[in-house]
Amino acid sequence: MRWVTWIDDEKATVEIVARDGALVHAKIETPSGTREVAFEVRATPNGERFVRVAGAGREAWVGPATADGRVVDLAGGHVTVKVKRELDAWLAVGDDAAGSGAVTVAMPGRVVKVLSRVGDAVVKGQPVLIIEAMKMENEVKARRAGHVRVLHVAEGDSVEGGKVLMEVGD
Amino acid sequence: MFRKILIANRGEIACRVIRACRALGIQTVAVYSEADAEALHTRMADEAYCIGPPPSRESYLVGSKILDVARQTGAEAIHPGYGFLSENAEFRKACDAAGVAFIGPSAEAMHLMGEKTLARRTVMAAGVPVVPGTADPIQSTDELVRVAREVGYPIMLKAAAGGGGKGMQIVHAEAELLAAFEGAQRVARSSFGDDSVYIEKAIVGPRHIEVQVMADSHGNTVYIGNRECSVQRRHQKVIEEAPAPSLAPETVKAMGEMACQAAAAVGYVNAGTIECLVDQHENFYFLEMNTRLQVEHCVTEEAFGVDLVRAQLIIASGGIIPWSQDELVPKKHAIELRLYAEDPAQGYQPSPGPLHVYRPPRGPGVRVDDGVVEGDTVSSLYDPMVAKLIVAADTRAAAIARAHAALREYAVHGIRTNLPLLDAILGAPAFVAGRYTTGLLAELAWQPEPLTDADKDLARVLAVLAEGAPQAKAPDVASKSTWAQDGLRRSLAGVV
Repeated sequence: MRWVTWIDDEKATVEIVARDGALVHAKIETPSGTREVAFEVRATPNGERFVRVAGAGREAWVGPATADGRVVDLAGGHVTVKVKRELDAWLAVGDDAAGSGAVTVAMPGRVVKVLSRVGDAVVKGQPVLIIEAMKMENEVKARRAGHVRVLHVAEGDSVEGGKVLMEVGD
Repeated sequence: MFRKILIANRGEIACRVIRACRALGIQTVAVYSEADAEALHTRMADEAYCIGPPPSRESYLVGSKILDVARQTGAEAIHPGYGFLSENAEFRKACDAAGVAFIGPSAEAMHLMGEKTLARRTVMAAGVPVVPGTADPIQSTDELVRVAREVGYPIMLKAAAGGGGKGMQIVHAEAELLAAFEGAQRVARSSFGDDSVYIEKAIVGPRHIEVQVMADSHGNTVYIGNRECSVQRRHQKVIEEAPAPSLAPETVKAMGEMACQAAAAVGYVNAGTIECLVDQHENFYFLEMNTRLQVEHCVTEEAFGVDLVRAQLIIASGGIIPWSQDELVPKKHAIELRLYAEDPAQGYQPSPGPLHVYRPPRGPGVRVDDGVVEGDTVSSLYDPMVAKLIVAADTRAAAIARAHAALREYAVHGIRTNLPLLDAILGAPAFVAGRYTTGLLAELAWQPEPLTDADKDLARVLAVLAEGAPQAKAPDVASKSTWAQDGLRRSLAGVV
C-alpha cells in the first residue's frame, strides 16, 4: 500500500515496507530522492506515540484526521501531514492547487473589523478580518491571492468556528 | 473561621482556592456555567451549582445569581479569585447587603483603586510616585492630540476601567495616534463595557515589577517581596519570578514601603498588588493596584514559603496577618511559566480545543496549578491560560535549570501551546543574566526551528500508520495499543 503525503507543499510518497509488532520499516520517495527509515513505535489510544530510532527514544503525538490532515507533534515542533491513498491522490489532481479561497476561523468569536471589502485585491497571508475571541483580537488572513468575491459577515456579527466568512476568487 | 465558602470563579484559581479551604477544614461551593458542567473545579468542590449559559456575562459575571447560591447553600463568604467579579465594587456592596463576607478589600478601596485615573490621584496625594500623564479620561480628539504633545511621545494609551494589560497601546508618533486611540477604545468597550481611555508617558526600556501586600483589619500591613513580571506579550504576563533579579536591596525596601503606603492610603484590607514600572536607574513609578489575588501569587508563595490564600481567609474572618515583616525574607528563587492555549508562531492566535493528552511535570520544586485534566476541552469562551508551572530552587540558575527540565516533561497535545516559546525565553541571554525589560519577548522575536527532514519523514510515516491498513477491520497502530501486546509478551516471558 502506497500513500501520498503532503507537508505544506512538499509531497512525498510513503510505503510501509514491513511491519512486525512495534517495528516499522518504510520507504519515502521525494522529488529529491528515496529514503528508507526503520524505527519502533508504540501507541496509546489517545494518540501518543513512543518512537525509538536507533535506540534513541522520543515522544510524538498524532492527532485525529481533519480536512487539513493530521497534526503530528514532535519534540522539535509540529507539522500537519495530509495523507491520501496513492490512487485517490491521482483522482484528485488539481485539487487545492491555488489554495482555498474560503476565509474561515477555527474558533467562535465576534467580527470587530472588516479590513477588505468586496472587490478589494488581496495577497496570500493578508489580514482581511479582525475577530475577537478568547478576549483577544485576532487577524484572520486570506489563504490565497485574488479579489474578495463574497463577504458573509458584517462588523459586530457573532460567528461560529469553521464558518466561511469571506470568499476570495480570481 | 468560616465553615463554608463559595468560590465565584472557574479554572485553576477556583481549584487553588478549594485546596486552601479544604486544608482549613472549610466546606466549598463551586458555581459554573453550562460550558463548565464537567470542569475540574465543579468536581473538586463539595457542592456545585449551575449559574447560567456559557458566556461569562450570563454566568460568572452575574453577581445576583452567585449571591442566590450563597444564600441557598449557607455559604458565609465568597472568594472571587481573579478576573470576573474580583474587582467589582458593586458586587462587593451587594455581598455586604446580603450579609455574605467578601474575601477582599472594601468597596471603597476597590473603587478608589479600580478606576485608574482616580487611583493615580489618590496615591499621588499620599506621596507615591506615578508616571507622568493625564489624571482623567480623554474626552475629545483635540484633547487627545494636545495632551499627547504635552506629555511627549512615546505615550501609552490605557483603558480607565482596564486591567491585565487589555486595551493598552503604545503610540510613537502623532500619525498613529487616532487609529490607536480608536483601537484602545474598542477593546476597552468590549472588555470592560467602558471606553474611557487615558494617556501616560511611556517609559523606555522599563521593567514591570510588582509588590505583594497583605493588610488585616487590625491596622497591620506588610509587603511580601516583589515579583518581576517583565516577560509580557500583548501586555499580558507570560513568565514571572520572585524575587525580581538584580534589584538593589534599598530599592526592594523602598518599593515595599511605598506599596504599604499606597495600600494604607485607601484603608486596604486583604491581599493586593502594587504594580510598578521601574526604569534603568531603578526609579519606580506606581502603575496601578490590583485589589485581588494575582495570577502569579504562587511565585511569592514558593519564594517566601507562605500560603497567600490561607492568609486571605484568615484575614477575611477577622484574624491577623500570620507573619511579621521581619520574617518575610525570600527562602528560594521561584519562576512561574504560564501555559497558554495559543500558537506563538502564529501571532499568539488562540488555540482552543480538546486536551487529548495532558500530563504535567512532577518532581522536587515543581508545582503545577491547573484547572484541567486530560480529556477536557479548552473553551474559546474564557481566558486562554490553561495552567501555571511554578518551579523553585535555592538559586535562580537552579530554578531556570529546573524549569527547562519541567517544560520538557510537560506533555500537552490536541491544542497548540506556548511551551516551546517558554523554553526559548528561559534560554535567552538577557533572561539568563537576569537583566531584561518588557521588550524581551519582542526582541527575542521567537520563531520555531524548522523541522529536519528526518523529523518530517517520521511525521509522514506516523500519519500514514494512523490512517490504518487497507483492510477495514485491521487494527492500526493508532487505535490499538501495542503496549498491551508488549506487556502480554513480557509477562509471558516473565520479565515484567
